[in-house]
Amino acid sequence: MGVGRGSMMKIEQVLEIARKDTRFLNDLARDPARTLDESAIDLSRGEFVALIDIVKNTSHSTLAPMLGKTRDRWKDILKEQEKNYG
Amino acid sequence: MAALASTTYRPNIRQDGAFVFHHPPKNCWPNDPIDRQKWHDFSLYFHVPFCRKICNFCTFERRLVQKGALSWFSAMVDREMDMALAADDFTGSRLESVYFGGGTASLLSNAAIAGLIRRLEAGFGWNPTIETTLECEPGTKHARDFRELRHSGVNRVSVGVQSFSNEALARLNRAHTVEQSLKMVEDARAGGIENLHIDLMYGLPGQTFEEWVDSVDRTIGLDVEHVSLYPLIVFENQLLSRMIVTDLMPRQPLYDAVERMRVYAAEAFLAAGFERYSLIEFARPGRRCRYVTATWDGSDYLGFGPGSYSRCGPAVWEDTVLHGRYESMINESKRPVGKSIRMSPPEVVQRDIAMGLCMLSVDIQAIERRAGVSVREVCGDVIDELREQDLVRVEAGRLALTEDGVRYATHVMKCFTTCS
Repeated sequence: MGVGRGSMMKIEQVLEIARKDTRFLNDLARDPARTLDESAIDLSRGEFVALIDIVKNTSHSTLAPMLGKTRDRWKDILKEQEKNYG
Repeated sequence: MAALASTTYRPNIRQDGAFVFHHPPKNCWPNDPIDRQKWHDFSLYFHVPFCRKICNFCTFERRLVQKGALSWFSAMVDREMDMALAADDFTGSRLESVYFGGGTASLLSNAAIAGLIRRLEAGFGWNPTIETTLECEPGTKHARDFRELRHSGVNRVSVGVQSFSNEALARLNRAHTVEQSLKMVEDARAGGIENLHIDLMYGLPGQTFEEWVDSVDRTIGLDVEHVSLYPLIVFENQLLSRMIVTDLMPRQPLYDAVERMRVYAAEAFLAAGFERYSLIEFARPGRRCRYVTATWDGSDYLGFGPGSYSRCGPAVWEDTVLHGRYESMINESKRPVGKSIRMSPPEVVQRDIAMGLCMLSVDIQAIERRAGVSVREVCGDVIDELREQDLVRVEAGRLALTEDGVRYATHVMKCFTTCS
């Protein structure tokens, strides 16, 4: 499984897609494996597992030690959905 | 009909409309500190990041409008303007143009827009000849609104028509209809707006040539001052791309069909008395958009609102896209910067050529003055190679796209951003 900058950029891109697409975000949060499978986004096995790690807050991926910032980003994105403008 | 010079099909060169919207790429920005900026001639942009519906092609910063969101936006931007006035030097600055964009800027109330304009009049180098554009989604403003807005200082209205086919609008998940577009053009005129713009898109999923011809011809019939013709860009993995890949959306027309649409529209607008002054913009004489020009030609611009961009000399930054963070940074009296870069002189050259070619040609000496380095030193080899390929020419101190260069503009731009 690749542990490169390219993989991290791909993972960050998926989080950005989720940030701008509420339906995709909700599906990803609820069932990341199925959502990524059905998304037509081209991901390596390593990227796929890393994204599940981020969403589920687990550490099964070989990329897990590199995921600190992206885990924070995911939390920020979830928090952003709860933003109250009132 | 006015004919464009014919172009040569080059099978191995990309000819999509992705162009270069930023350089260096945003994911390479190192978050350099943005210190005190000195503003001279500049433009100003308000990014209103809320929409009634989310268009499936759009990758700009936007989200569904919620209760209280627009009041929140006005209050936050007001404070961001205070912070800019305190942090930066506007002594002797001159505001050239103001643009309310988004998202959907026309969701802002007339009073909110008037309030923001009054703020500008009070301290940002306002002048009486300023161009002030409001981007409008059909159905969101009416004749009475335009009269009020005209009185407040809005003198240019951009109508997001996109297509004159209700089927195409529905496929794009637009919130409006053709009838509402026509009504908005009529209402803007009735409200005293003398400078009207229309956005059209081509290369849409399932779009036929005949459908595009109808959109172009009906736009010409409306006798507006300015049009933008956007080729649809389907970004990999984004919503529209995923819908196409999973057969939830018809495919886009093939490249040669899209090119035929581009050429038809260009020739039709030229024949109708418009001049082409960028890759996608056509204007009546004297009606070029100052804001559009400023965003491409290396000028300075200051953005307010989450996700807005700013540039002052070599510094480029984006306000944070996270609304919660934007609010907390403003509450902590911190400039709400999310990403930033202070470009090196070669990066300034690369950016100002690549993006500047969107205006069909760039002033080489002006770029060298801004960058402090010779253009030849940074990318002389690329210019020579592109000249040999008849994609650019150099004349009277300007580097210009040939007609083939216009067709393959994305390739030309990428040659400059990837030279080192």
